[in-house]
Amino acid sequence: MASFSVLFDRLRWEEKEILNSLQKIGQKAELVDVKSISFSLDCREDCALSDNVFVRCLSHYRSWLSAEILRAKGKYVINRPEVISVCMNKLLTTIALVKEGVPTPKTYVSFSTDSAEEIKEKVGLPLVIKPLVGSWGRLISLARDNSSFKSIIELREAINDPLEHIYYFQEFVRRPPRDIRAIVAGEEIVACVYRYSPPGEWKTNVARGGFSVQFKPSEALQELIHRSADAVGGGLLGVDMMESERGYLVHELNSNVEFRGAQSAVNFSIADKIASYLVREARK
Amino acid sequence: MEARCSYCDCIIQVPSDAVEGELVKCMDCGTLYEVRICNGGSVTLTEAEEVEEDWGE
Repeated sequence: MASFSVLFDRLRWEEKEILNSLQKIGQKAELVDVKSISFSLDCREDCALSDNVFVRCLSHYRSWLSAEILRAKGKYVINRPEVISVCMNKLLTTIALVKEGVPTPKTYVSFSTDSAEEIKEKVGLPLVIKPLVGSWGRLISLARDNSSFKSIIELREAINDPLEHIYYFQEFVRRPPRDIRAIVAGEEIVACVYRYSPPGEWKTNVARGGFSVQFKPSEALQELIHRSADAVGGGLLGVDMMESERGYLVHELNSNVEFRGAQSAVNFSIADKIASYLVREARK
Repeated sequence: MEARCSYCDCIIQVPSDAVEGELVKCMDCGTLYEVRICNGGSVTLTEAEEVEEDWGE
């Protein structure tokens, strides 16, 4: 039997399901609110958490840095901090994908409003503008014309956060009104679903009212999913893809994957499969 | 279990199987709280954090 602490900052349905699944197969498991604990960084023996820590904080920075601390204290941490730090940052994710030859939307980055303007002149509109850190489609904007481009840049400049002043642009991919979410646990593709946009919305995030339909990925798609997960270091991941004229494009990897939408589309428990993966990976 | 909303003083029903960190909402004013379970099993509520820029999957 292994022991697990599931570390959270806002308790979601997913964490409770995973806890139940771990306990159902006889594992010792607890939920721990990261906000209720603190750490000393100068010794290894003062951490009351279990040997295995499944990091599931909604805050990417809390996830990444708590994973760093806990591993330094000798805990076995899932996902690894390197994986979290890459997945939480869209720019680093794109670099990792491109490095491994994974097809991804054409991406451009600038560090000033002037060079952002140059990208627009060179590449043309429409362009999707995304925050480097964030999720659920928040602050993702579509600049269709010069006026909306200018407004989006001005709004971003007004945000008092240096990361928002780094402009990450992607081509607007002409795709069906759906994208693909694969949930990967190590070597296993746990579930693969189409996510459809809700009416009147171009984003497919389930958090925005999208819905999911299960499908069986082709061998080529399975290979792409595994290559994408490996590109960021592997682990328990959500791999988001789009269908385009150039074939599948991988646009995001999630190290803190939510699966309530995917669960509604499948007739098995995703949490049970995640629990089995955690047990396989765990330090016994 | 019951607790009171610190804003509108309305009584908030906390499910008996609530766990540490679970969210409950004041049905009168909409304030979101996290459940805190004290030694001895009594329950207190702390106001939940606002969504931050770095929150997500």
